[in-house]
Amino acid sequence: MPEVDMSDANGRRTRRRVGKTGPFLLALGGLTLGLCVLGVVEGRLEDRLAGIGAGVSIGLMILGLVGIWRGRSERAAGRSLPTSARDRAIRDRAWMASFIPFSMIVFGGLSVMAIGDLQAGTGDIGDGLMVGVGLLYGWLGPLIIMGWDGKSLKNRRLLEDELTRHHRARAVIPGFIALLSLMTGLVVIGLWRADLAVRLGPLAISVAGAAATLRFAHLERQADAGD
Amino acid sequence: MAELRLGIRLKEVRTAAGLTQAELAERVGVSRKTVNTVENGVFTPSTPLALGLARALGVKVEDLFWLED
Repeated sequence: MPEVDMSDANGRRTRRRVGKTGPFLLALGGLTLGLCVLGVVEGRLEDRLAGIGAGVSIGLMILGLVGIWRGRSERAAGRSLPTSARDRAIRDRAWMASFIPFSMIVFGGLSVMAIGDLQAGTGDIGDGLMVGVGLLYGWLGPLIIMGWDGKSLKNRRLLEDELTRHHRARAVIPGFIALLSLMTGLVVIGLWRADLAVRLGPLAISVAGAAATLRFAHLERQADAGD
Repeated sequence: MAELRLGIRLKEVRTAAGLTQAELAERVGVSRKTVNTVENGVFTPSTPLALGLARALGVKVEDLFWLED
């Protein structure tokens, strides 16, 4: 049973924003993906740049699809959207934690390819930047769930409560296990193929970070159940 | 030592007070999800939070939480 009064203007504004964001991101991703394909076909875009653009476009499309799915599942559950600033901030953080892992893995994968080019001696400054972006993205999800990103620091008073600390502690466990497992695997691979172990490093960081971030998002969703 | 089990009567007291989860959360200064998970027994509140919930509802903490035999 919905318990949150949706009659105020803030609630209506939030509902409209959530309803349009998913389709907008899906359309934007589709448009940029189309432009990348067109650029390659017309020979006006380098393959590497087109690959990066396509990766970002696919990330946007996934984000849009998750947004549409999330909006539908909330409507199907008859769940009201939050009206208090605290609950809106927490909802937005959970939403970020749901889609960021996909971007983390996409950029982790792209940096694997960039390291391959650098190791082969065919890489350039773009590949170096891509490695940096991949590594930074690997940290993004964990930064959000730890409350260390800019938005969380700004809204610390709203976002930090007992349940958040509880979820954070639980979410770190699968991330830690994934990191230990993947690093163990990379050390074993590195005994035979050191180059491959280095190449897969950013992806391992992204996957471990994504595991913690997805677990946090899952716990946040579970906390809404049964109200 | 035997495992301690917590009995919870938060939802009954809250609805009797005519408050929504969001309103109670606002009074205590936590999220609505926190109130929801405490009511459902998913999350065990700390002593300060339990006392804060009791104060917000105008009851003793023992009226909300107790140890089950």
